[in-house]
Amino acid sequence: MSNTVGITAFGSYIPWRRFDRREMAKHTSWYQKAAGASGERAWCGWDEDVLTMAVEAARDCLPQPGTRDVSAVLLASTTAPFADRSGAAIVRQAINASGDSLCLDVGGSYRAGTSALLTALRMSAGQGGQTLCVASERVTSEPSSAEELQSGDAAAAFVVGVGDTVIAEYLGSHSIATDFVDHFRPRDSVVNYAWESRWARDEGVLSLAPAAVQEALKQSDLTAADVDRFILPVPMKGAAASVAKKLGIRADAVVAGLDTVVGHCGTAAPLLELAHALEGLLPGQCVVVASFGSGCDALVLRRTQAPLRAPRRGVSGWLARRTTDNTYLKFLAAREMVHLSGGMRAEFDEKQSMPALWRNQSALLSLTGVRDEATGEVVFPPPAGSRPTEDSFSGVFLADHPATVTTLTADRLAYSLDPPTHYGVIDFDGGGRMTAEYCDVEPGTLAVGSTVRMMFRIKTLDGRRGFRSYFWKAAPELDTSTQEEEDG
Amino acid sequence: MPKGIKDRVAIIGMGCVRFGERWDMSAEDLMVEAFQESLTDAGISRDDIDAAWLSVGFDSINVGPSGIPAAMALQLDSIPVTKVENYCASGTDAFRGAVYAVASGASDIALAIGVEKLKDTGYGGLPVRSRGTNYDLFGVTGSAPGNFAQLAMAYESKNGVSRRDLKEAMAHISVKSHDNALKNPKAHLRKAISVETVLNAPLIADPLGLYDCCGVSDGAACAIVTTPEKAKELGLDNIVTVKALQLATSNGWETRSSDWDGSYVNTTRVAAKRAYAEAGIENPKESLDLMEVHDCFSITELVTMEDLGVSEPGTAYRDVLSGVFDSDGRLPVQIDGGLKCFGHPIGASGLRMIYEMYLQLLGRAGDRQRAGRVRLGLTHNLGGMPSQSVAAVSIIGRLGD
Repeated sequence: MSNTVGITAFGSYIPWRRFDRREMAKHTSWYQKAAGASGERAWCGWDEDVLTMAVEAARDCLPQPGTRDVSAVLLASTTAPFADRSGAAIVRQAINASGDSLCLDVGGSYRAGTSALLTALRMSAGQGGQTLCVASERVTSEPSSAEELQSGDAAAAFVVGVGDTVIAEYLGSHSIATDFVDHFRPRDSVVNYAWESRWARDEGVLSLAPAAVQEALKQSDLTAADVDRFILPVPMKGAAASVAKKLGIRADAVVAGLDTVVGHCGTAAPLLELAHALEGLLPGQCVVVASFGSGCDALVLRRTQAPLRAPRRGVSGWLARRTTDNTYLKFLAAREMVHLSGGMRAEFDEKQSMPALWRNQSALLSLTGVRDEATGEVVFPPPAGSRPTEDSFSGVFLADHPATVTTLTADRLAYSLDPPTHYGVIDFDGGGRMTAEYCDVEPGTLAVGSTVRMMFRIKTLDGRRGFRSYFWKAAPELDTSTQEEEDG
Repeated sequence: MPKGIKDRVAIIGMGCVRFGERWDMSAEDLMVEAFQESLTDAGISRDDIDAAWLSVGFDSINVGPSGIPAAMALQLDSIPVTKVENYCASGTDAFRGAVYAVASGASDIALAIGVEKLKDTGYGGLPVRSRGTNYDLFGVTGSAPGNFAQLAMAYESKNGVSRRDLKEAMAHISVKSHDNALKNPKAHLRKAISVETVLNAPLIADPLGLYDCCGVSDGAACAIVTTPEKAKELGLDNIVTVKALQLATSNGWETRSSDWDGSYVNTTRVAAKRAYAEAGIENPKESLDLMEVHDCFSITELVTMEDLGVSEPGTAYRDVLSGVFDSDGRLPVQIDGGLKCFGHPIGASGLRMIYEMYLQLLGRAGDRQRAGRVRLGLTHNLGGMPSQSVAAVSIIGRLGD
């Protein structure tokens, strides 16, 4: 086995819903004219957040079904739903990785995604082992702000390790940490406060990024001419191209970016672009990933000869799995920027019992059912008296099993932030049945016999206490998957 | 096979209030009204009752916990009063308690009373409630129409019935119940509707529209039961007796095994089979004269016809459309308007069904009295949802028949 350190697998997640920016701008044009709004942005439904996206991105890069051979999980975000409740631990559990994995949540600035990746690379270089590194962002912006139009929700994930399976070798990096404040968000605020972007571009990006990239290339024994892909996703037009030009990186190496189809996704932006670039990077080609936020990170990677372990969907697959939803009030309500009257049905107290969540953690977070060894029957949720620790029952990780719709309805009476609520009975391939909520359903497209795949979602929002619980929902398997399973 | 309770218990008095939006009445007031009617009917005094069962579906907007509220409202002096909650089958289960008490010899005269005060909820439909700490962790936040709508989807798929045919059969069911309720002064919804109205109504839970859903009502109903011997001592000669009383509860098979296809209610089938055996009925289609089934939704009534064995599998929609279950059909179903229009005060509904059978058997149903033979009637009371249910089936007839 070689000592090559780098990325062994990559994945991503882009929510199903896209908002046409011109349509979004129309909603606030009476108040503020948005110049040059174009393309679309991805957005989370009410039951998606940084953690659900992180889990889906992680699943995208892990074998399905397969073992979760990681010993550490790093989660980068500035918009994690909890200040004190580890998102990395939830991701760890949702992907069914070992409970003794080192789990760490990082944030602090939009640079946290690349810093986490860098940390993962250095961990592998130092002690071996595989680290899952995920960046996920769901920025909440003030209605009518430029940021609201520019942003997008998404996540990206990488497995970092050592050896022959490395597909992108880590060559070098450089980081600059400094208190350049282009935007900030106080602890008690949900939205950012941003300074003039021209200043941020000219004095920030165009000054810090070239220095960081130049040093990273030097550390990697490369020159600007060796760069085949240059990633610097900042929401200022032309900034990446200007930095490339300043450094002597070829103009055609500058990655066009996903701003027009996803939007700027904070900590996840450089990683999402990297995951996208890796889909088409040829062996021997080099990529520079730089990020901007309280300084600048620059990483240099080179595609190895190892066969690509393709993500299940990848950026291209997620981009194809889409619907246009330009319902501005729904968008605002999902981000808790407007309170809609849900009627008295919405007043139901969703207080969760922590002991009950804990007792059922593997069923809830890992969708683990049990197989009755005597009958072979797979049962979910695990029935009373069937703790998987007992010899007569074994755990079955159902999240990666495709399932078939047995019954369904579209319920307009039950309270939901996004009615109707679709749900019904599903049967897993290989056994096991559950009554599941369906998510990402285009009304009228789901039928008895449809194939569905499980997705990690918010189950319950306890608004009164600010708590949320997670569970799995069944999404229609749309015929947009570009790649299936692993190819090598 | 236990010998059962056929003809071992007689119904000697029943009461039922007008169901509906009883804004001016508390749950306790409704109980008192139904109870007074049953005492007068039975010709006994409250002190003759030696045990009571109270059925309630949603106790938090009703009488609260325990049997105490019934004992207090009805002034039952220190007798045992047990509260029963078994989803929408609570009413029949309370009846079962009283009947079994008499059949066992532990009680001479027992009371079953059910009540519900749904119009205190503040919104339409059933109140949102927890199904318990554990269930809520996994369960979908759905609604009753959503749970039963799935029956329709699976039924269509299994039997190759078109949405249009199924919707028309479902509409026929609702139109029939509205027509029947016109002749019932105690019914909640007394207004004729057309098939077009049903088909054009807004969807509640696909494919169920507004008129596929039953009324959500306030109401109370009760039964006083004793032994046939005691009934004779009280001077009765035309005595209504319980021929069978069965309850079946899901053990989770439906939600666990892919053998259940979602198109029928297993517990109804089990309870019916046991009830027919207990009553000695071999061919229900021929033997039964009247049925009051749990038509919480039109599709439930349709599927129940097959589950009770009065329609062949996959054909209930055709029987419905051909009028078999109309008030003048071969086997009238919901001649009183059913849950759909008499109304559905949860805790009272099972007892309301028995009340109707009792009146019909005694020829006291007024304008809606079934023309022709009324010898054996069946009531079917279903709680929960098709995938996790409790079904109660009773068969009521006359002593000696």
